[in-house]
Amino acid sequence: MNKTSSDYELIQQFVRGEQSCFEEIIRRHKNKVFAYISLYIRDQALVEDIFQDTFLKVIQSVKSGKYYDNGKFLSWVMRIAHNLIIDHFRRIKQMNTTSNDDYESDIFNSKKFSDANIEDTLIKRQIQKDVRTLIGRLPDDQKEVVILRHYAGLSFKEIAEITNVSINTALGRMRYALINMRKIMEEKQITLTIN
Amino acid sequence: MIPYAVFSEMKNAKPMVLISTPFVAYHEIVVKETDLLEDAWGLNSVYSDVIQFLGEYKPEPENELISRLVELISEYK
Repeated sequence: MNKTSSDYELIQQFVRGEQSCFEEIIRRHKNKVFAYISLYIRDQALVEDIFQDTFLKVIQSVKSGKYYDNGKFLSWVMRIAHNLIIDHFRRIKQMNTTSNDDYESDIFNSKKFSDANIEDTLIKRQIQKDVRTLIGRLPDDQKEVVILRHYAGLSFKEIAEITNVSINTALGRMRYALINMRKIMEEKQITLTIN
Repeated sequence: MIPYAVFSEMKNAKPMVLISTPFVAYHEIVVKETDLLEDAWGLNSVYSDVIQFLGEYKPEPENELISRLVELISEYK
């Protein structure tokens, strides 16, 4: 396995039986996929479940020959993650249970925060909470573009394809999202206090 | 050679490269990490404060989760 291989090359090698190639795929994309899911779902355990399910579904599709290379592996993975998130919300709606916001445990309860300096941790936590609040207040179409661009790292061309709008619409949504977020930051006097 | 000859006869003239912005070849412009459409809209420069703030949110999966996933994959047939 070559670390500079493309995603598709790694996938092909994985299908031929090289397990380590898929580990490299996970290593490459884990943060983006995880960030994407965690911005929609607050419950840490659920985020982890959907994260795992996403990659298992990727494997399932790859092994059954459902993935064709078009140079957009990551956006395909994001679409799978997105569908799993939608499935989750559908299930909740059907069961008529509490909303996602009612979950007590969230992403900030993870272990890595306990090791760092407490003050820094608290500031970091506050900033991250603020970021989530900012994004959470956006209309769904703007929120989606922000998450896909800044956390999933997709280009506007890919975002336009995923969201079925023109590139200009996607860019326009991003501009409105940024304007809205700046307004909320000013209203709530949110500032960046950590470097 | 014609331009040089012309310059050499002019008292205050200097070669172009000393008084103007150097030319940049296309291959020297690094755009790998840049979304040119986003750049054309000026989003990163106009809203850099908001974008920097967004960048503060960096959730990462824990190593245990990745190890569990790798284990699951190895069991997957």
